Amino acid sequence: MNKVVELSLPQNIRIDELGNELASHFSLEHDGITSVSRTYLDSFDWRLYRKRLLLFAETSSEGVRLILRSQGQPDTQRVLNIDSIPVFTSDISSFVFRNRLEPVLRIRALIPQLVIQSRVKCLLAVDADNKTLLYIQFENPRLALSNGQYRMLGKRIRLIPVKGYTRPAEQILRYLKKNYKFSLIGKDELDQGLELLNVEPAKYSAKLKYRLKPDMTASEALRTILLKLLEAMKLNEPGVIDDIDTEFLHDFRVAVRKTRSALSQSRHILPDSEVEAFMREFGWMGTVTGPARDMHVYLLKFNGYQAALPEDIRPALVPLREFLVRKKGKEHERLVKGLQSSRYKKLTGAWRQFLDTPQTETKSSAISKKPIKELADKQIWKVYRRVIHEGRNIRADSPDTELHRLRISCKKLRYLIEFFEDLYPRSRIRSLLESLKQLQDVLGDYHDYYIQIIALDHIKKQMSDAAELSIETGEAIDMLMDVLRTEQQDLRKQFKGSFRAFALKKNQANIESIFGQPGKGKKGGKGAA
Amino acid sequence: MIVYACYNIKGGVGKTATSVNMAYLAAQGGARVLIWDLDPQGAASFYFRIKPKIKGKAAGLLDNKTRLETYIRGTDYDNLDLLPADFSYRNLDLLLEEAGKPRGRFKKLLKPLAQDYDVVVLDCAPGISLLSESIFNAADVLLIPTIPTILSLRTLKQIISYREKHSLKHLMLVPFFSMVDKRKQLHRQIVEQPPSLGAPILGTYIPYASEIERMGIERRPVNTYAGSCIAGRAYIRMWQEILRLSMTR
Repeated sequence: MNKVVELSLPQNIRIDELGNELASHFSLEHDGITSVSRTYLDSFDWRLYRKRLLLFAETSSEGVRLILRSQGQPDTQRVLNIDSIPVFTSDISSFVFRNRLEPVLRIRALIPQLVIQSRVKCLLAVDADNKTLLYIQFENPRLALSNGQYRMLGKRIRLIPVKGYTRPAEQILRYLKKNYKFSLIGKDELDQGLELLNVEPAKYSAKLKYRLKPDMTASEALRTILLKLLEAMKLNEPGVIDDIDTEFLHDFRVAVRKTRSALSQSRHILPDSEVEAFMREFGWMGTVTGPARDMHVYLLKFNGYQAALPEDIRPALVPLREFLVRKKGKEHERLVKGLQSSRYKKLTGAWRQFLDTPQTETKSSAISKKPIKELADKQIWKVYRRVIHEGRNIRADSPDTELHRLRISCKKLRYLIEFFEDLYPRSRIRSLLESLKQLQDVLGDYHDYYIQIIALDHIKKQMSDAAELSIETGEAIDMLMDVLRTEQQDLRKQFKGSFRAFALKKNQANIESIFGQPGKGKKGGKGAA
Repeated sequence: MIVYACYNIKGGVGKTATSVNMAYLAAQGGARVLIWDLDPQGAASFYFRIKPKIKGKAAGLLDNKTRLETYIRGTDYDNLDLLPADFSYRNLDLLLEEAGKPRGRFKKLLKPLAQDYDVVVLDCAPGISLLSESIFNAADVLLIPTIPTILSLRTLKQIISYREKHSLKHLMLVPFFSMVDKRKQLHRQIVEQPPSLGAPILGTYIPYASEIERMGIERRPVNTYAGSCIAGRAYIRMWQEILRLSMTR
């Protein structure tokens, strides 16, 4: 027996008595009783859980231990003594932990998902050299609830054999099986706790989850999508307000943007007059959340900004970071005010009511009764042809505004495909999505550079006005803007290749066969530039 | 997985103390660590209170029938396991030769461990032999404890030339001064102005200290009972220096 075994004890068994019985029968050593609190950590979207990893901080009078292991495999654990529970992977000193966690969590914060409190009574089996061969732990853990109450997980005994020393654990297990009725606990403590709370982990995903059927009416399908987007906004709202990590605001803004995109591309399905008012309000949401998001982006890119400069210039950029941090704080305050305003509450309340009330569609035209598949085909095909048309007209000397227009069209196409991907065979739209993503990356990065250069120039002026700009910092920002301009121009050269890959004739034929309508709209479907 | 081999042609230079303390500190840093006690004297196994015994003897290690994992024993410390020594390791040279392809054998043996361990520390026996060559091929970093004396420096030079002559470019040499007795003028002189030998010597040195000798009585790594003493602090600094160097490899 080389694995950890956890057995559930009947409630009437007294841990102390059983401990003493085993200690005297097997000459075990008492190793004391410790009060511990185990805080299970994961990102808001349960990235670790999805990758079958478990991370928890175990706090006791001896300090805090961070424990990382695979789900269902306690013997794979890595342990690290830490000073405080980390929020981001960058807070963890161990490169081994960082190397394992960073690719999964990326920029997401660790959130305490579950707290288990327990008093652990420990016995040890040791040999003549005082070498530990087996740890035996008795526990009666309780799950701490957010309202200050507790739920008991049930008494248990855990046999933790030290690798290579199987005999003591086997003997004790035999003894326990012979004398008592125990059942094996085959689940991780986290899963037991989640089950008690009736919490489904990994429920939230930035990717919307809903089912569409081709024969659903356009109105019904659109409401399903818009309700999911509203749900995404509401789910992310507390994280945005508490500024837990930048992904909350990102996902919130994507949901707002997708809502606006869905409404603008589905005219007449829902009553126009009401939709127009909501469009205005969601536009306002975009402006409320934009400045804080900009600061997040600049701060996330800051290490890259420094790395782009010669080593001796890098320290001169530090005041820019400090300025951005302060500015982010102010923009966050404004954002929170916006999200706590009556205007926002009124908007989301009215929006939910509007989506929940089917009779509003009586005012709309017959289009809302059409099957969604028919309208989705038409709209995707239309926007796809627009992308092809706009892309073909871009020349080496075309102004940035044309690339920007194409970027917006690509975004609309991407959202449309994502909204309705349920209606199409995944295998057939995969290649379209992949080439579209590649094209969007180039256009998105190009636009980001454009915005960053303007923003840096603006921030430089603000720092100067606030008498916070030294000559060195000003020169470093100028140098950074030059680097960004060069990189932007390099990207511009990449555009042609990316667009060509997206607009390949064979791809166009494939797209047309999925979304196109016979005899209609062929003019945009000709070969690429 | 990164493989550190603690090695010197000379004996009694502090190889085992280094291996044990480096392995412990690596494990304390959150890495899953395996220390392999390759010295038939079994000192590393002794320090961890683990019997220096391998079922099937050294021949069993090389017979391709039993997985190396089955010989591994857990220590009393988080993240740290040990593959014990066996007196039959004295015959490893012969056995390697008999098993065929001796130079690549250790690399092959260690390969499956990459799934379970982040760091492997090989505590090597002194001398230079077929076994050493096999270890040089398997290791990424060769830690060379060197006493600051003329003869020890001469031996260090031999190792450096050996690496060059045998094109062991993958192998990073990390020599450092060990058992430094600052009361001795020669030790002071060499540590303060080390000669240029073709491989930079670590900035941290390990002093000759009674706390290290006490490992034999305590039977545990220095930092578990004397972490704040000079030797304990030196091991911490040295591990950090080694880690930095090996990460830039």
